[in-house]
Amino acid sequence: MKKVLDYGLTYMLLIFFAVISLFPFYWMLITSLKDRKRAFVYPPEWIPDQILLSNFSKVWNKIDFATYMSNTLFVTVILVAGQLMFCAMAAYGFSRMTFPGRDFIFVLLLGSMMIPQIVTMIPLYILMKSLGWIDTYKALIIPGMFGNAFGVFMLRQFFLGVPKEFEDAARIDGAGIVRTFVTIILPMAKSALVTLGVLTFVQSWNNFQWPLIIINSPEKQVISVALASLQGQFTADMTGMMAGALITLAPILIIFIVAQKYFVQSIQMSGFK
Amino acid sequence: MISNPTLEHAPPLLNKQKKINRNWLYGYLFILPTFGAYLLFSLIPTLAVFVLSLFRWDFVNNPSFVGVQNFNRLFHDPLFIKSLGITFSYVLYNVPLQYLLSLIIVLALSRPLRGVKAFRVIYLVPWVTTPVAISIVWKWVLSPTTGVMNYLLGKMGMDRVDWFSSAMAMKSVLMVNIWQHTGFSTLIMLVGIQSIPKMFYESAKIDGASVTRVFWHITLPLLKPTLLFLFITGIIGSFQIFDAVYTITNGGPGDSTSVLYFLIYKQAFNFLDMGYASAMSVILFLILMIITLLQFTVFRNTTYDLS
Repeated sequence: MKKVLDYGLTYMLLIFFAVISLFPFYWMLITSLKDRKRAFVYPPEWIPDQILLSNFSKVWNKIDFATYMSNTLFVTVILVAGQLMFCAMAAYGFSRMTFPGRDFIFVLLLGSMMIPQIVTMIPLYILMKSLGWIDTYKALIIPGMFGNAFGVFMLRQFFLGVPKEFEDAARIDGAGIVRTFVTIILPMAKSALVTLGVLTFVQSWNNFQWPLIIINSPEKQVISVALASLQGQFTADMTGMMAGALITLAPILIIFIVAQKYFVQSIQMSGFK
Repeated sequence: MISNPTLEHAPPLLNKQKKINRNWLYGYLFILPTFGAYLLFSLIPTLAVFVLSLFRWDFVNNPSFVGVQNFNRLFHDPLFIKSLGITFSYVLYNVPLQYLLSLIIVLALSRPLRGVKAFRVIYLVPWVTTPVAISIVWKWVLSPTTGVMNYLLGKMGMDRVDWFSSAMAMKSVLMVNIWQHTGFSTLIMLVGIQSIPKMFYESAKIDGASVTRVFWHITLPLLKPTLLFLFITGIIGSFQIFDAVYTITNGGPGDSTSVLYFLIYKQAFNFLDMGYASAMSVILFLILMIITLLQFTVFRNTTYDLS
């Protein structure tokens, strides 16, 4: 009996937190389906009696979501591709090759995890300005596309776990370093690469502060900044605002549902053993 | 380490030497893109911020050297002092509350119950969502007059809360942030707990140790590396709260939610006061350095008795 009660309480606790985790999404969804005036009815309606899709076309026509989405997707895809390629290369170099200063350089790179983004923001902005990259995608893509400490660290942990025999066999067959890396190592690291890929995708899609200061032309803007500016236009219309938030979140939520396993894995691969 | 090449004069080894050097070259080539970008876009800018903090520069006139004048101005700037206070108290609430909550959830999650895996996934959803978008949703949920939160509070017989008043606005930002990040810290802790060897628990069981004793003497000490990681990244992250503040309160009402990051952003990109904003960044950087080093020392010096 005590056990049943105990488990019951545990489940109650877990369900309570699950409801809190998901409630804002539910509220966003049903608000976006309500009629504009019904959104402010008090007490609030928990289940709309009619389902309207007009809010979505309303915001879609008000601000050009298609453009913002494709802008964001463009930046994100290049960032993901670059991060995967260069993180994998660096991780392979740090885990499989010997050269003077290797470990020192690795520690230096790990140290960059401790540098808060905010410290580099102003000098980086000035650098972009002197390169003439303000209001271009170069400024959004190039500083981030060559990999980062976290990605290198994660993939290095993975490579360290790959037995050396695979590479030795390839080398005996006469494959060079580059070919071994591309044909043997990368295919083996597929799951780790997907993990890093989905994380990078989400980070880039959610990125707000950097595009906010870099991009000035409205037609070049990314989705997070566009959504924030929508707030000024829809002050009295929560249904439109929620539809906009839902459109912004949809790709992320879809990726999460499809690749949830990899998000959980990304945390497990952070390597705190 | 590679042995000193000058000691090896035998001809057969010369070939090997060449090969080693070629391998070095490959090694450097493989890490070059990431390391080069890190130098150019991270390390050099970090050093540059110290230099910039000694100048006055608005992009219109040429930069002029002003020495420590920016720092003098900082220490007499009531808004900066206030902002420092707001940020500190935010961090002091955010980190412990979030990890305490995570710990409670982890203890529930690590029990052998059916369907527990599904909860792990659900708790992670807030973590991946776009902060700006979800902040807008929370703003609607917390709306003082027509928001569902106050309606629910009323249902439970509590008073309405004016979530965006100067007394409450920062607490609202804190709440949204805890909602968004607790899932992540929970899963990190769970991984840490699951990697503790089972034999510790088994021998504690044999000794008849109580649940609380097991927690204090086995779980907590062995979680140390995980907790150190969480505290360091959590504190650095909390000091840089920005998106939620920008979206929900825009620093207001008054300056009640003007956290450091927001202040630096405004100084740099609204008032184009690059030198002054850099000086603020330098102070923040030094604070974070000191806190991080402190944490390393504290964690290193707390040894637990596992016997």
